[in-house]
Amino acid sequence: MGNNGKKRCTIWAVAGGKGGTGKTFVINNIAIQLAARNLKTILVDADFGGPNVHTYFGVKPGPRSLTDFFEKNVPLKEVVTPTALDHLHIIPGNVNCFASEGMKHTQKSKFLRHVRTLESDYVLLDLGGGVGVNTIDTFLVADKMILVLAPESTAIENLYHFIKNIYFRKLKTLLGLHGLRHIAHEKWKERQTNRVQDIRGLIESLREQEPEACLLITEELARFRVYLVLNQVRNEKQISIGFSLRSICAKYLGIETEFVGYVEHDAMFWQNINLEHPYVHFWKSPRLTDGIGRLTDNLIEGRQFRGGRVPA
Amino acid sequence: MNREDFAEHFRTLEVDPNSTFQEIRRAYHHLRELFSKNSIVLNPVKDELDPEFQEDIILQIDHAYKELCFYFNEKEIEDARQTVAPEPVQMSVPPPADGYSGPVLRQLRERADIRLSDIALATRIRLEYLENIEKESYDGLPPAVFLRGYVASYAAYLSLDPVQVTRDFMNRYEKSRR
Repeated sequence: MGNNGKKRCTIWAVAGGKGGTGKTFVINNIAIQLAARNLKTILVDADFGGPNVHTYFGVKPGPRSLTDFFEKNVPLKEVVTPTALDHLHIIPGNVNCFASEGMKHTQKSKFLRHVRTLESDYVLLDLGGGVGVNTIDTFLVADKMILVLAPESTAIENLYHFIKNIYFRKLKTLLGLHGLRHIAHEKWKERQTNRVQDIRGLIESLREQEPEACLLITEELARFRVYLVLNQVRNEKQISIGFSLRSICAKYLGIETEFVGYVEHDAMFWQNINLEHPYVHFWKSPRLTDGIGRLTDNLIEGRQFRGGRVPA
Repeated sequence: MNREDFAEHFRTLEVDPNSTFQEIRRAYHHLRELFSKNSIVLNPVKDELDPEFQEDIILQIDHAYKELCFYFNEKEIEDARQTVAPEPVQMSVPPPADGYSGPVLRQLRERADIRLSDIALATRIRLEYLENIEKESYDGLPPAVFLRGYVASYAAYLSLDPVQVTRDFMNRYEKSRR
């Protein structure tokens, strides 16, 4: 526990390969739902590619943002900015700097150290679409890894790539922790040719040499779990894509995922996104509040979506 | 089936162990289609596994479903026996002087405190037909070839002599048809 016996905050992170699937939209509204349940929530805009969490909540960029933390050594808790909603704070992103390579290694360590000391029930990280190692490592330490996808073949294909890549990254980190980095390195270089099913083969082959490490790694990987949110759902049939993905990840890739819920596409909401306080319009759409509310509850409980109302 | 196999079958079909049979069937059909047809969800990973592994997945799904079907079928019959349809009651009643008519059969059944719905469940004869047999509403009954069998089953359930009951009942039926 540490932190003077204070309860450690729960970290949820959203990341993912494909742009335009609605990562920021989904995590923003999950934050609203958590706050509405009287859970203190801090939403961190760590999307180096295009930070705009503040816009959604009608907060002016600056004076305080993640830039101050990274560049001026301002403690993270001092850049926490209130919003118009009770229990919900945000940390605005780096709007004035051009960080093409995303997070640096030193930034990552410092960032994670500070995030853990934030006094909050939940800390939500919007990591954007970046695929830099440090962004992925940040994603991997979250208590819940959330991936948002749209029901389109392109988004689905990228989702598989992303899941496989972070799984490899996790394996590599674990091997490194057990002093097996040299093997990790070789295997990582060959990841294009080593299909995921070979991960189990790799661990099997190590079992004779390093039985204890293998056992620990296998246990750790068994806990690896990704939470899927299906966004922009336009008809009932598309909902089954969530269940299908879960089945295929488990049976083809040997990777556990939970399909926690879907969000309907609401044209009315998207007409209002350009108004001054977009989040206000979120509450005017029962379609959105129902969907996000349900999936937020499923995330809290760590359980799978179990049917319910289907889109009209 | 041992407990572990059982849990494994539920896992294969990705359903909760407390699922109803209907939920299991739905899950099976979803998975069967998912893993055997091309789709936007399957195509990107199709090359991840060698064909024999892919076939293996489908075989496992089929096997799990078959085993669970078997289990649920057994359980259904057992439940029906225990809760809904009691064992036929022994009635040592002498055959009625005027032969077995619909109303007589009804009287005997009521005396034994047996519900028509129980007979319908056990014999798989439509309740409506059983009612029409007792009322002798011949127009609401199937053709004689079927009717004979139904009456025999009904009689057997009441532990009456099926041969005698069908003979009496069918005689009355023939007479009314003339």
